[in-house]
Amino acid sequence: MGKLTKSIILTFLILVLLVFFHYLGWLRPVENLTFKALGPVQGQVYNFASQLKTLQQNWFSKRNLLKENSDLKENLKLFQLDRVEFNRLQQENDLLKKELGFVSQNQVKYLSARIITGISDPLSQSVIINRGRSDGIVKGLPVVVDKGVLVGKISEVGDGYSKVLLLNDSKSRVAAAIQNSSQTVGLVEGSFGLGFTMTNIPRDQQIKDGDLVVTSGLEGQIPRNLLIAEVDSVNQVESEIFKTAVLKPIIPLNNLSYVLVIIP
Amino acid sequence: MNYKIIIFILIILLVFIVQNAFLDNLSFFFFSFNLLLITLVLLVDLADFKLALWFSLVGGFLLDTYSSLPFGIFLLTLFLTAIVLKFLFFNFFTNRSLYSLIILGLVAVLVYQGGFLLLSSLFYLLGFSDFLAGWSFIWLISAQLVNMTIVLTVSFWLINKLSKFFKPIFLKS
Repeated sequence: MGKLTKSIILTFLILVLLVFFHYLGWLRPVENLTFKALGPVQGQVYNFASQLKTLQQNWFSKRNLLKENSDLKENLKLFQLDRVEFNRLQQENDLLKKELGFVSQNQVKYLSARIITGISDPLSQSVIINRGRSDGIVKGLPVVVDKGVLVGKISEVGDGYSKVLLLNDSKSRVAAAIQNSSQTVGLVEGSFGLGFTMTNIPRDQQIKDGDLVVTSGLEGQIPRNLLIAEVDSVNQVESEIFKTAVLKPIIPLNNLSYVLVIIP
Repeated sequence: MNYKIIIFILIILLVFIVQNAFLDNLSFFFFSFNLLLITLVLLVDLADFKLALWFSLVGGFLLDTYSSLPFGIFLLTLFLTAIVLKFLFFNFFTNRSLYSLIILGLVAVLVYQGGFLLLSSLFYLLGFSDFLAGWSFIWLISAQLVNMTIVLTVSFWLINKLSKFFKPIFLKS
């Protein structure tokens, strides 16, 4: 047997052992050490790449900024009026709750996490955060930004790290509801990083562009009313019993640095 | 000898970090660059094959650790790619010209992505994974074929300037 063949067989044996040891859990300390050792460097490099990306996006979007600015000013006026009404209703709500002795059951805890890096699979839309089992994280917990915009779910948990499946990953499924008069429920599904859609919407439901999509609360660990996206367009095929809404993300999912994990 | 091992490990880590934390976070054209595969092709062509085998092992382990797919897919595909490249380099593309280097690079992309597609689909069919590559995978392979050619051409030129590893026999008139 030649030297080359021996090397190939030896490498293959090590490979098989590595795979076995991984599934037996014996490689976990090595994997944890890898995340711990590479994490800080990867975090810095990831942040640098994010800044470059933001710079590039800003450069290209400059021409639209003036128009967007004037539109936003108009919207701001409308929102200020809404805000006044909102504050009045909030005060009224607080007063009524007080009178009824209402105790909030919807208190949630947030755990902040830093994104270390992305995932190595091609076409996968996931990130790795610096919080894990030791911080109380379990599979399925929702991951948000700004304390209310859902960006993904925990898909895998290690000792000091977790993998987050973003909403635009093709494997992502979240039970959702549209904030219209009938609170239409459906399923928000990712589509290979290109965006996401809401499927399983009954044909008779009235949906319009701009309607907000929130979590329905039908998934155990995900609370109700976390903002997911807004409706961009609605696709309806005559022969199908369900229609599909194409959604527009509230924030870009490809440029996150910090997130919050909601812990029950 | 020890310092060589340390340098080798540092190179693998550097390549992996640049790929995973930097390129994968940029736009489609950049994340379609596969630095690990490019390094593997150059190692098979320029260095000792044992080094290429170790590279496939450590690189595959890192890719699998940071992947959401079943462990072992990247280890196997990188290992398989190294062996196919060595076989072709040993028997057909032996002259270290730019053309043979590019052909080895293109074959590497096809074997690596083909192996990945085969294994990920197999795991999907067996119910171990939810990932099934869609049509956008073809775009990824096409982009990788293009940028593999570009990077290998630039590397060939650079290495030719710095050393005599490659013999540009087809480039001289």
